[in-house]
Amino acid sequence: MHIPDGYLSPATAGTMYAASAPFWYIASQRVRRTLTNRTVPVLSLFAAFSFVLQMFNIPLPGGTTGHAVGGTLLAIVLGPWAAVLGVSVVLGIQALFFGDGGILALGANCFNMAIVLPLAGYFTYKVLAGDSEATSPRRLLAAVAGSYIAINVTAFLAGIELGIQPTLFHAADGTPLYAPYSLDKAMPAMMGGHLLVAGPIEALVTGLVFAYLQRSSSSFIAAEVPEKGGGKLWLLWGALALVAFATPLGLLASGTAWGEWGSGELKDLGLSFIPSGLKTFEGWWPAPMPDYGWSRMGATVGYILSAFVGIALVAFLAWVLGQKLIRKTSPSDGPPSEGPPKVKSESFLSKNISHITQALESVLFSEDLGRAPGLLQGLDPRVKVVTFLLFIVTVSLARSLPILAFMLFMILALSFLSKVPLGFFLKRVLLFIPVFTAVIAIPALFITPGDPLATVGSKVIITEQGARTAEFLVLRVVDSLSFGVLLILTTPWTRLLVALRWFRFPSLIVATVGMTYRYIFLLLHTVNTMFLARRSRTVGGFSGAENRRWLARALTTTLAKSHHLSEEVYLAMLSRGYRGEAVALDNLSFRRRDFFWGAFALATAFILLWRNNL
Amino acid sequence: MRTSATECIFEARNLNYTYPGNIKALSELNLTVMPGELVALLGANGSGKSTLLKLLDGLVFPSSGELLAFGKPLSEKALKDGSFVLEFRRKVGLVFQDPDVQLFSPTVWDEVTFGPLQLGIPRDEVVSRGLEVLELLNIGHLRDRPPYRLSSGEKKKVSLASVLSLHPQVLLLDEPTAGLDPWSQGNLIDFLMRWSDEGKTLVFSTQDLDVVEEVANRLLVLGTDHGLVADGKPEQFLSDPDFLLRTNLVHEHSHRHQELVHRHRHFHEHQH
Repeated sequence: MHIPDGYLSPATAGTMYAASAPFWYIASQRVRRTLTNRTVPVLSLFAAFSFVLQMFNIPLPGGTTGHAVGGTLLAIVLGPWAAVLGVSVVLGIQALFFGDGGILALGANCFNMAIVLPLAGYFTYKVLAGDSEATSPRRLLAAVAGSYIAINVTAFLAGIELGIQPTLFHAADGTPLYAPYSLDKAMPAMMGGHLLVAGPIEALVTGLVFAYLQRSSSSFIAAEVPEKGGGKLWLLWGALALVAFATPLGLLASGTAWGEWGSGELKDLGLSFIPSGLKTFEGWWPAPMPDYGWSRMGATVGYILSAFVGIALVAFLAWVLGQKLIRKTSPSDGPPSEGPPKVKSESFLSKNISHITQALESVLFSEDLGRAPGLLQGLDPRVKVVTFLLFIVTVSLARSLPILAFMLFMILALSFLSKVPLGFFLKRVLLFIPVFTAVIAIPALFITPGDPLATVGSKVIITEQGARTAEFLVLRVVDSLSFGVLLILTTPWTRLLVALRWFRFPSLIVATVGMTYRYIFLLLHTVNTMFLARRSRTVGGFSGAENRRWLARALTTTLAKSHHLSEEVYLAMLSRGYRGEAVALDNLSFRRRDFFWGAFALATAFILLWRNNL
Repeated sequence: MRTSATECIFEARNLNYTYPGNIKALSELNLTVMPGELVALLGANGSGKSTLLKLLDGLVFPSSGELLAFGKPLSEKALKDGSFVLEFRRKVGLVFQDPDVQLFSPTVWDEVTFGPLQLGIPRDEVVSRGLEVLELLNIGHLRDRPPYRLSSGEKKKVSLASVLSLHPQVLLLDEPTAGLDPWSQGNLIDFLMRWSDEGKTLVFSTQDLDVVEEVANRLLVLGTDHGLVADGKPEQFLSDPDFLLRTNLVHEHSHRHQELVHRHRHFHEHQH
C-alpha cells in the first residue's frame, strides 16, 4: 500500500500533493480548535502509537505478512481530523527513515492512507454505530466494518493511481515509464490483496483494540466529541468525492503536456477494468515456460540480459537478506521438538520484536554516521534537502536508462566520499526495496506488448518494451530510495527539522514530527519490555488465540500509555512556558562548500534533464 | 514566624483536589511556603504528592479552596493573563518525576533551551544559559544526544538542567532521587544544597528519609486520607518511629533495619 517512488509519474505525485493540501489545511485548523495548545503532544503521542501499531506484522497464509494501518482506530479515538494529521506524520517518518513509501509519492500515500482512510472509516463507523451505547456490540461491529471498508476504498484509490500510469506516461514505442500495469491488471491485484488479506488484518486489529477498550470501559470511546454541524461534514464529504473524482481528470490534463496519449486511450482508463478484471488477474503470471528457445535475439541482447540479471540479483539479495535477518535476530525460536504451531506462533511475535529492535539499531547507527566527517555530512541541511529533492525529481523525470544508471553511479560515489560503509548502505537500500518491486518488474518483462526480444517457437516471450519497463522500474526505485537513504544517513535528524523549519514548514507539523519520532522509541521500548516480561514468565509456546489476546492487550496498553504521556508531556511543556507555538533556536549558516555543492547539483540536474530523451 | 501573605511564596487555604470520577487526591490542605524554605514532601504512594506539586506549579487547579502564589491567586483565569503567566513560569520550575515526560525535545540542547526560549528570553542569553546549565551539571558531552540515548541517571540530570535554565527562584521537584545510584544521589543532594544557599526555595517530594534529613529544613507529610498530617522540623518527626509507621512512611521490617543503620548518624548530627 505504501507506494514507493518510481511507480508514479511526477505529474501524478504532484497532483496528489495538491489534492492532499486542502485536507491538511482543514485538518490543522480543526485540530487546533478542538485540541488547542494540546495539539502537538496529543498528535505526537498518538502518531507514535500508530507507528508502533504498523510495525506489527501479522503472519498470513501463504507465508507473507501484513500490517494494519490503524487509521480508522485512530479516527475513532482521536477524531477524524486529528487522525488525518497523525497518520500523515507517521507516513512522513516512514518514508524518510524506513524507506516505506517514496518521498515524492508521499502526497499520494497520505491522500490514500492518511486522508481518505480515516475519513471513510470514521464516516462508516458513525453511520453504522448510530446512537448505540459505547459498549454495545453494534459499535464494535461498526468499528470493524468501518476499518474494513476504509482500507478497501484506499486500495481502490491506489489501484487507480497506479493503473492510469501506463496509459498516461509511456515512451513513444509504448514502453510504460512508471508503474507498468494498466487498470485492468492493477485494480484486481490491489483489490484482491486488500479484500482478502490487508482488509481482514485491519479489521482484526481495529476490532481487537476496540473490544478491549470497550471492556475496560475506557474514556477513549465513551468521551466522544458530540457531533456538531453534521451538514458541514456532508459538505466536506462532497469535496472529498469531488477531489477523488477530479484527480484522474487532472492527471489527464497534465498528460497532454507529454503529448502522447490519444483520445482512444481514454477507453482503457476506466471502461474495461471492472468486468474483465478478475479474469485477467488469474492469467497475470505467464504459464511456466518448459523450453527456452532464445531465438531471434536482437542486437541489444547483452544489454537486456544484464538488466534481467540485475533484477534477478536484486530480488535474490533482498530475499537472502530478509531470510538472514530473520534467522540472525530470532535465535530463540525454541527447540524443534515443540509442537509446530506453538513454535510458529511464538516466532511470529519474536520476529516482530526483533524486527523492531533491528530497525531501531539501524536508525541509531545512522545517527552516528550523520555526525561523522564526510562530504555530505559537512553540508548545510537546507542545501542538502533542496538538492536531494532536485535529484529525486530528476530521477522521476528521467526518460532514459543511461541517465538513471548515471544517477546510481553518482549515488555510489557520493556515499563513498561521505564514508558511508558500502555494505551498510546497500543493505539498507536493498532491504528497503520492497520485494514486490521485483515481483512486479519480472512479469512486466513478459506481458508488456511490443517488439519481440526472446521467443519460444513462434510465441513471443520477452519484448524489448517489457525489458525496458522492468529496467526503468527497478532503476528508478533504487535511485530514488538511495537518495532518500543517503540524505538521512548523512544528516542528523534534528538538523533536518531545523531545515524544515527554515523552509517555513508549519511549526505545528515540525514540532509534531520531532516529538513523534522521539516517543516512537519510548513506545517501542515499552512494547519490547512487555514482550520480554511475558516471555520470562512462560516456558512453552502460545496458541494463536493467546497471541492475539496478548497483542490486543499490548496495543491497548500502549494506546493508554500514549494517552497518559500526551497529557503529562503537555503539562511539562506548559510548566516551562509553552503557549501553543514552540519557539526554536536555530543556527544555520551557509558556507562556501554549500554554494559549490548547490552549483554542482543544479548543473548535474540541468545537464541530465537536457539530455533527457529516449 | 508567619508574616503577611504577600511575603509567602505559596499559600493554600482549604485546598481540595478531586480527579474526574470523584477520586480524591488532596483534601482540606492548609499550608504556607516561605522564601528560602527547603520543604520535603513525604507521603505514601497515591497520597497526592505529585498532584500538590502540579497545583503549586499552576498546571492543574484546585477543585475548591484557595491557592496563592507570590500573594496572587493562582487560578486558571489568572494564568490566562500573559504577563502574569510569564512572570510565574520564570520564577517557578517543576521537574517531573518521569524524565520521559520532561524530555520531549529532539536533543539535550533543545531541551535545556526550550524553557528560556518559550519565555521570551533574548537569544544570546538563552545560549549562555544553556551552556551554563550543561556545565553546572557536567553534561556538556550529552549536548547533541536525543533523549533515547541517555541512561536513566543522565535523563534525570538533563531534566533538572532543563528547568534550571529558567533560573527559577522556586524549584519544585517530584521524586528527584528516585532511581539514582547512591553516588549520583549524593551528587544531586550536594548540588541542591549549594543551589539553595542563595536564598532560593525548594519543595520536593520523596520517599527517601535520608534525603529529607540531609536537605530539608521543613517537612510536610500527606496522610493516606490525602490531608496534611505533619508540618514542622524534619528531626521532630523522623525520630518518632510510631509516627513514621502510622503514616506508612516506613514498614515494620525495613524500619527496624533502618533504625540500626541510622541511629548512629542521628546522634552524630545532634552533637553538632
